[in-house]
Amino acid sequence: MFLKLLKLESLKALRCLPVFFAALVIFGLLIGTIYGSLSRSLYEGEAIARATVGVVTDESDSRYIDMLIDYLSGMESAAFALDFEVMDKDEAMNALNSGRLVAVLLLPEDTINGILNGENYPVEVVFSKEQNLSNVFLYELTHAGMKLLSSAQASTYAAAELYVRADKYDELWDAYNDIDMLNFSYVLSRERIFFTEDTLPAIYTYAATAMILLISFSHICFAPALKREDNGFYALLFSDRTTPLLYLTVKYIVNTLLYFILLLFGMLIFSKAGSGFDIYFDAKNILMLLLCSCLITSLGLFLEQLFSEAGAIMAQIILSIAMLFLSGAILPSAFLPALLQKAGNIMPFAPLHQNLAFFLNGNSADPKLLPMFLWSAGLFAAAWLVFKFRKEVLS
Amino acid sequence: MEQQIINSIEVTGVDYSYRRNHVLKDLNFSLPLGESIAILGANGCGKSTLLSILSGVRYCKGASIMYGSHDLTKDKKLRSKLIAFVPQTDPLLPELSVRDNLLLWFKGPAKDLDASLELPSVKMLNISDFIKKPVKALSGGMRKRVSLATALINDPQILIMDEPAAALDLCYKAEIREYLAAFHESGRTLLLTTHDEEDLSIITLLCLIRDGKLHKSSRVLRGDELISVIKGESDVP
Repeated sequence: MFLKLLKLESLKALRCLPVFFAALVIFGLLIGTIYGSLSRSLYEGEAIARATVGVVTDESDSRYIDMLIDYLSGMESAAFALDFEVMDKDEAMNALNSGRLVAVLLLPEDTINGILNGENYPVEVVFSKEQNLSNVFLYELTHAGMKLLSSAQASTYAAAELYVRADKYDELWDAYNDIDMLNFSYVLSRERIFFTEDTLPAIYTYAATAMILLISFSHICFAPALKREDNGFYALLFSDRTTPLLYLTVKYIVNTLLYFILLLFGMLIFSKAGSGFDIYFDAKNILMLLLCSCLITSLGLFLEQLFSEAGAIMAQIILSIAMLFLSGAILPSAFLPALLQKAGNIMPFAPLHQNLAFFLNGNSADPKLLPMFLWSAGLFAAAWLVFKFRKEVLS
Repeated sequence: MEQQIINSIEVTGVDYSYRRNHVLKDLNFSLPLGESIAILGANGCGKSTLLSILSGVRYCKGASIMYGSHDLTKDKKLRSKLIAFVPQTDPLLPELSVRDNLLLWFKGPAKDLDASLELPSVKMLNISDFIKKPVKALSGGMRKRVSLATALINDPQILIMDEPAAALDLCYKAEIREYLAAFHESGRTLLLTTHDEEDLSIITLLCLIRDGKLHKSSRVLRGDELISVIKGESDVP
């Protein structure tokens, strides 16, 4: 019976392949497009779309206004998405109402002097009335800009203080212009301060996220091979000296191995097809891909035992996105409450995500293989328990 | 040799509960071989549970099913050779062909399947007409015939069937009854549960489960008398 089950389960899994390949193309294009747009906007300074912010000032002839606009435009967070345009107030408000502008900065009289001498006259920021995500980002950008400006001011005053302590009052007034110029220009290069060699660049993190989404979504196509059969089938199966554990183990091994082969070849093609990722296939990484197949198959198997076929598919989609989110693979987990952060760290996709990010960066898998193994074994055991329980109620 | 002198199966110690629901209470009975036996009872009385224990689907601690000196709860190889079970819902995989489904449950080598399809009890099911078709393309009656064939291709001595005519129309019900009658007439044992009084036309021994106990009736009851016994309004004759 073991060989018959092996043949049967292989046949069922192989029958899923045409749908799997079709889904791989569709999900690959969809997820690849989103990932490509995001990474391009992050690394090449090209946003999917750019927005314009109007600047209203009475000092449009001042060279400091030009510097301020240059400074705002050069801010890393604004540079990839925003353009600044100096205009008069009526023109700016009309443009805001018509939707051409996303926000208007109303600079008060003597703004520049106010910044230079520390008075800091408040700048009014008028956002579009539409409540959407763009406004949220602009709001955050404004706050980031204020912080940046305050640090620039702090260094200006520090430099002035040094002149005073050195009894160089006469030179101070002449030096102010140079100090301001230097501060405005240096503050633009601040990203150099935060460069660290130990952290993986974000591109690998997002590539790993995209890959897990692709793996998880495409694996849904194997639902017909993992789904529960009618009770009649099981009744006959278990009257024929087959145990639930043997049956589930055969199903699990066949599906895991098939998915592992697909994953391995997929990664080989991905690395050779000019993806730009320097993937390294050593024993640890191959083991990681095998554990990835184990994990995703055991998750699918567990959900298929718990729900109907359609319910299991829905659950896998929702769970995958939720686990990725909690694992910090979509948004930084630092934004989440501490409890959710802890929950996210023990989710099965957290070690998978980290290992895949290392893998895509050309490294050996991180020593996070054990949690992946434990999750795979745990989910398989849970699938077996549910299966056993449902066998008990079978009549 | 031993098979010739064994004329019954002795069942002892069948005691089964679903959590707090004690459905079968220490049943001890003998099933005469060569009979066509129906087990009747109200819904939820434990008919299907008893069949699933006898066929080995369900394990019942402390129970023994003796065939001569062999305990079929332990000698699973002999049990699977002697007994074939047809569950209430079809045991078929819809995406596979009829032939592949039969191969799955056929206990001999694959090359011997064609010879088994020529067995009289299988041949009369006329499944060779659609043997290459996927099961999902078959009607309810055809599926039931294939379900029956999965049991009969192994040429069992005892056929256990849980509600053979469930969810079939009148024509198919009559057809299935014909197959079962032919199986019994070949000298083998038929054991089934049913809610359909028409099925009793092929029955030679009637058993009733009431209050967790199995009662053998001295004759095959019909009509109001049968309903009254099932309801517990009168004793089992």
